[in-house]
Amino acid sequence: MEIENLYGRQLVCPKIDNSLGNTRTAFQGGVCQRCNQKLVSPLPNDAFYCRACLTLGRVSSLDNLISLPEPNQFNGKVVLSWTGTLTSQQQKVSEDLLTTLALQREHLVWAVTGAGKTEMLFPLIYRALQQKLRIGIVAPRVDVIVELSPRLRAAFAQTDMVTLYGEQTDCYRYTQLVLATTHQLLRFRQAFDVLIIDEVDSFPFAGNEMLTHAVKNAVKVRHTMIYLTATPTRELKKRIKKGLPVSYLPLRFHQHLLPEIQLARLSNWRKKLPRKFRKQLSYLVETNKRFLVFVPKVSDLKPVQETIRRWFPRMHGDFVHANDKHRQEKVQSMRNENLQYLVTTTILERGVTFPGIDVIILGADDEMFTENALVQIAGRVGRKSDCPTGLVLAYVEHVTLKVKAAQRQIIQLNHLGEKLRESI
Amino acid sequence: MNQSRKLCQLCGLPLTEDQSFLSLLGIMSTDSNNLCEDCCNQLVLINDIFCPNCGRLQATPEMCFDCIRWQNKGYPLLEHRAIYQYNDVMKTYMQQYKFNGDFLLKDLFNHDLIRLIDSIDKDIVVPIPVSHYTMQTRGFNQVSGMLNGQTLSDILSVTASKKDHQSQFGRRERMNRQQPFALSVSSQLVVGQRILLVDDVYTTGNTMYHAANLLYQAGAKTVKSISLAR
Repeated sequence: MEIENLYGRQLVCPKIDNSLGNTRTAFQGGVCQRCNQKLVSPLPNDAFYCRACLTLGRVSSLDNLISLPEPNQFNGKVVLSWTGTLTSQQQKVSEDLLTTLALQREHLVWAVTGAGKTEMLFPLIYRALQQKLRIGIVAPRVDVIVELSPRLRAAFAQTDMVTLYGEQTDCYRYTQLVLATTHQLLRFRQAFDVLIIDEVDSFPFAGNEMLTHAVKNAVKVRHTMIYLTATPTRELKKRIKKGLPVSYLPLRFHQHLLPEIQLARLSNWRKKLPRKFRKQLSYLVETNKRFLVFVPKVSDLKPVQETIRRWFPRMHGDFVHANDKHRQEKVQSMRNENLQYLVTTTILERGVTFPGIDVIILGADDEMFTENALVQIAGRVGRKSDCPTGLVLAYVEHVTLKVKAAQRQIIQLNHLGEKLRESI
Repeated sequence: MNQSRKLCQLCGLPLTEDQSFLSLLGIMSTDSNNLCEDCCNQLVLINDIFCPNCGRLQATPEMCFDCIRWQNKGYPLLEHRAIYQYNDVMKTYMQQYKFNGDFLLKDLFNHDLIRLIDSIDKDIVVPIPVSHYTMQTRGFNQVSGMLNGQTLSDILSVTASKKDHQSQFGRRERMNRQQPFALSVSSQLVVGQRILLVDDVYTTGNTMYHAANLLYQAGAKTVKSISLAR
């Protein structure tokens, strides 16, 4: 193995193999030293292994963890190949971030869906690259990382970077810029000077002890930590009150307000999709609109899509869920406009942009859709400046407080956005 | 979300909770309740038409070309039987159980294997061994693991300490490999015995024929074999 592949990493190495790098024992008191969880399962001969982080390759009592300190072996040469401009509100946030970097602090960016969070990061990333700092950009959701990757490659065309996630093709290399899912941080140890966590409020990261440990373990002692979200959790809001520095941005980059959630009643849709729904779809079909249909459960996907296909046999569509083998390809063909619609679970609620789509939510009152999930789903609509509005239609059996709260949250954000727009 | 909900051990999706009345009362427990319906449906049982000598699922009941080749080479045939076809879902299982080392998955097909073993006449059941290196890294023999509850005779050992796994080799390389096994006990324990060899996957037959060859040389009366997948 190349020795530099160990810089800032923590990798599993069988005790029987000779290893480069510094060796640590893999367990202490039954606690896995990679993921900090105590969830071991026995092997023969009194050996055992950790089941908590098994998906990243097994850590067992037959292994050691090996790593080498991060030496920041970078040349600091960087070209910002991004040619866009920031709005004045984005500019303001991005200046906050540069201050954060200088002070090596934590900072939260609370910006509505479609505010252009990624672009606001560019000045920060640019400066950090110049300063030879190692930068990690992570998100809990693989779709978010997959979509971020080409945008960063385009913005920093001469900077080498790797994109790491579960079923990836990109092999690990020692690079200054690392894009990864939060799970992948379990393979890092004191590697990052700057860590940016996108969609910090989302599953599976929010409230997950193992991933919280992974983040702490992956940054250097002195570090800059940036959290990005459009819908902060209650815990994050509490931390703001306790003094976590924050930048707000309640207006989308194209200066249009967020599409509001419209409600309609639809009963017994699991039994038989009502005519009302068909009528709504045929309207979308006639106007040649592309759309997403969100359903609460994986088991709803197939029946719903089959019905739509029966109704509109000539329209290309598909369904996708978290463990779908062709998940990336399906999302990609929706992005490429090869698909007219996708029926999906909450996996596509955030971090993805499909230009000019409408969104329909079936069973929006189901427990699977939280208030923030509904706000995020509504945020998939009108993300491009040439198509800044669209339909967000939530079908419910009963109007619940949660659905109302989501509607109200968007109205409140729009209120703030309007004020901001007028003040310019 | 409900954390205590049971997940499918292969694909990780939550199991649908249409428990029967009897299982609710604890009177009857279902065998397959660790796998979701989707994964179960993908398992292909080899119980219809197959090669009578290697258990391969095929269109005709005649001996397959590979087995004819073994016969022509002068090997006594094995009458191998496999339970499932080695398809994507089986590959996933092997990947997680064997290569990712999730020992907890060892019992998933335990009943299937024990039932098959019970249906075959034999004196001793011999698992295909793993190398010392594999024992020191994987920490278990995947075959013995799956056979919990069955008395096993560990009379074979792997001679090479090399860390090569069969699955890293192409077909030709596999066929040309030298005898990888040795007898780890006195051959007196083998003489006159009817032996049943067990492996996880039968691919080329190379592993089985090498093991069988060694056992016949030591004086075994008959050697038959089974595997979970073919």
